[in-house]
Amino acid sequence: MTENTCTHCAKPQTVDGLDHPMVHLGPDSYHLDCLPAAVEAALREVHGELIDQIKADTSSDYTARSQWAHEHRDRLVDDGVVTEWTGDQA
Amino acid sequence: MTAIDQVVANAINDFLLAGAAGDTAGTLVIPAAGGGPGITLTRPFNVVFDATLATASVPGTAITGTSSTTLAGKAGTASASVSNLATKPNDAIISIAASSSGTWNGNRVMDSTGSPKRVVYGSSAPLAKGFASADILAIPVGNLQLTLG
Repeated sequence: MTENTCTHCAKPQTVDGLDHPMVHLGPDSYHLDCLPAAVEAALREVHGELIDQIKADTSSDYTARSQWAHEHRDRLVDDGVVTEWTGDQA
Repeated sequence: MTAIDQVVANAINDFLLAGAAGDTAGTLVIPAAGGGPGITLTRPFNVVFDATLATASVPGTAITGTSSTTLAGKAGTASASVSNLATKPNDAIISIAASSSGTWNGNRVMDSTGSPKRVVYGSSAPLAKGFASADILAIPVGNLQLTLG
């Protein structure tokens, strides 16, 4: 996968060895901390839990991101959306 | 020279991109010419994020895991004030949180019948946007634009 570059700060998704969560707004990509305020506000209406978890995560390896992904997959299975997770691991 | 009347075009756009706040249930029917069964679409319509860009003959392949969200409340109604411009865009960001990594190449709008029917599809060009799990994929305002003609 070609790594994305943040439209705002021009830095890659991976900064200093850390894989930063990104928002892909059409062809543009932003680090969560680089999002225009209006876009973040709109996204918070739907993804507030995820954004808060990631922004509150001060660990060096973005544990919240991985944690959210695993919990989300469990919910997909519990809700019957998928019967077994076969996608990539976080 | 012929042209579709703007009022008619707006009505068709609202049919094909049923995304007003109230478009959460019920059916939309276009009768067949000459009578008989026509096209029946069931709301709410859903926006699917595709790994493989749909074409006229190929339906498109959804990204792995979470891949769709409702269109209801995100496309308003076609503007009757824009003369000779038979278009209707989304007026709110349409987004999902990815639960797997992959590549985002296009979108489809599907109805919600048992075997969902494709209503509109496409992208001006394949996005080829790689993403990781827990990234957010978002269609900017105005980018899911339907044009008649």
